[in-house]
Amino acid sequence: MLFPIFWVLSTSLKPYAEIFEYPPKFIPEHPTLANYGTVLFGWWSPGLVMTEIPLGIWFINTAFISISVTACTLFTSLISGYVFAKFRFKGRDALFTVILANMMIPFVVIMIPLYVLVTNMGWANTYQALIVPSVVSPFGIFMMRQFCKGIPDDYIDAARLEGSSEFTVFWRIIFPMCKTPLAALAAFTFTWQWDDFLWPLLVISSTQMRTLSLGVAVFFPFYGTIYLYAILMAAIVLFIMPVIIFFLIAQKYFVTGFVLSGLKA
Amino acid sequence: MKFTDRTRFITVALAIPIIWLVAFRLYPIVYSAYLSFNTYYLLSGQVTFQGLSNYISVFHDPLFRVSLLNTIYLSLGLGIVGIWIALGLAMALRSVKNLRIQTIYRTIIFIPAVTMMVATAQAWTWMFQPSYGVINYLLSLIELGPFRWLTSPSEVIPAIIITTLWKTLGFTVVLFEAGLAGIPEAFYEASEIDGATKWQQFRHVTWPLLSPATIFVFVTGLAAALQTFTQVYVMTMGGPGTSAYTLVFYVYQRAFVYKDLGYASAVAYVVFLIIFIASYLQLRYIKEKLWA
Repeated sequence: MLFPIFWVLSTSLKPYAEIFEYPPKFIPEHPTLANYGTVLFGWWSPGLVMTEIPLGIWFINTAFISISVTACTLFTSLISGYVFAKFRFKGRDALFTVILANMMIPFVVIMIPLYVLVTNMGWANTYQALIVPSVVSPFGIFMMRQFCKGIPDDYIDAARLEGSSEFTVFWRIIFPMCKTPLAALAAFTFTWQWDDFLWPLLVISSTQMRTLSLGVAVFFPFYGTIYLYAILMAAIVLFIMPVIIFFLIAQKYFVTGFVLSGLKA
Repeated sequence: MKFTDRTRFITVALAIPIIWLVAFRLYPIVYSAYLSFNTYYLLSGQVTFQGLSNYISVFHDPLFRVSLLNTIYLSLGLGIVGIWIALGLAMALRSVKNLRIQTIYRTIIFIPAVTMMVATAQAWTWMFQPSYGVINYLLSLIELGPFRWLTSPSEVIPAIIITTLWKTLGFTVVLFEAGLAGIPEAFYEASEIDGATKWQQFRHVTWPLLSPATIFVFVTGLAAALQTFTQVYVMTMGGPGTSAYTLVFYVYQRAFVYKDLGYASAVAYVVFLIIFIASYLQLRYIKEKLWA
């Protein structure tokens, strides 16, 4: 399972000439960091026409978008999940059903009108084009509702009797109790957002606004240009490492997140 | 006083989801249906009513048929091969008794699931490279190949299946593991006393009791596989020729390369219908099997 990652790492350390060696060497004979230099600082490299790969900017774009979307999703999922779980009001079940039904709608059906809408609003090549359509997650609402249902009413009622406002109850009682599922949802949303490709491909055309997925996919041409592979692999190492490190640290939440998403849906 | 506070809270809580729902989901669904009955080129901006003609064209469109068959091939390949490998890995993982080693194995199996699809696709493109790629080299050691992989119309889909499998397997394994953990040990002990073989245990205890997990894996896996796009775009741009076109890739091409939004919307709706019917049939078939 780890061989492809090993191979990417090994290729990224190979000097230009070793890419063309056959049979390929598993450990580079003359390991070099030049490819990373090319990716990060625009060092000159044989066969490379372009001078600069704005990987740093793409990284900041991706991080900013992923963090914003995750924060918004957590907030909307928790607060509306809580309302759907613990409040009775007219139209609640109908609204919840409509939101849930959205989990069944494939992205391909809405991507064309969504593109027209977003460009008509003048949002092409902006952060909001990538953030705003993703601030609500039907799955997140569903997940948080399931969890909030398990919270005994007594806690909420006791706080209300003491005269706390609904916002205080939400912030002081509900939020602290939901930290574990929120962490799982955060891991899930963040990874998914970091990985997103099709939507940025549609709404982003300027080099400066690209996300990592988009930048790495578009900047490097498709198969056939072998001499670029060492540099591409260096870019990929820098691309996947943050999420892998994040995963290794917060592993528990990733796995529970996936399992929760699995068992409850 | 208390009433207004409650109302205000509900309003604030649901305002964003409701606006989002209307603006970014319901409106697009309706607008897309409207477009599918019209001709609308992105550059001209002129909308002409076409009635059902877009839909009729879809059924006579050879490229749509290619995309559909490729998507089915890809989905079934991923589903059938993926489930068996994942189940095998999950059972192997559970048979590791040392918990720390088990955690390490699980981490290793799960890491590909958190690598980005674009990165995965590019890494495998390099490994599949016919003359310098490491896969052909490794296969040549056991006297197989050389294969042309992404440059061959008949080998490109298997190559995409392998790539996708690598990335999605960890997710499936974790789901199966959770399912396996839910099966009480007592069943295995009882069947052992009755003298059941390993295979009989698997066939009559594990497999039936695991079916909720299997169903979930299959339904979500199919829905994801039917929407395959990134791998195809990154690895071969649908090629060689059109031999790796998938449905979503075809919609993308039509809408954003040819700017033919009306026709592309009709294709998208047909895709939606196919996904919907596939999920529905699957659930019904499974329910019959389960409750019969």
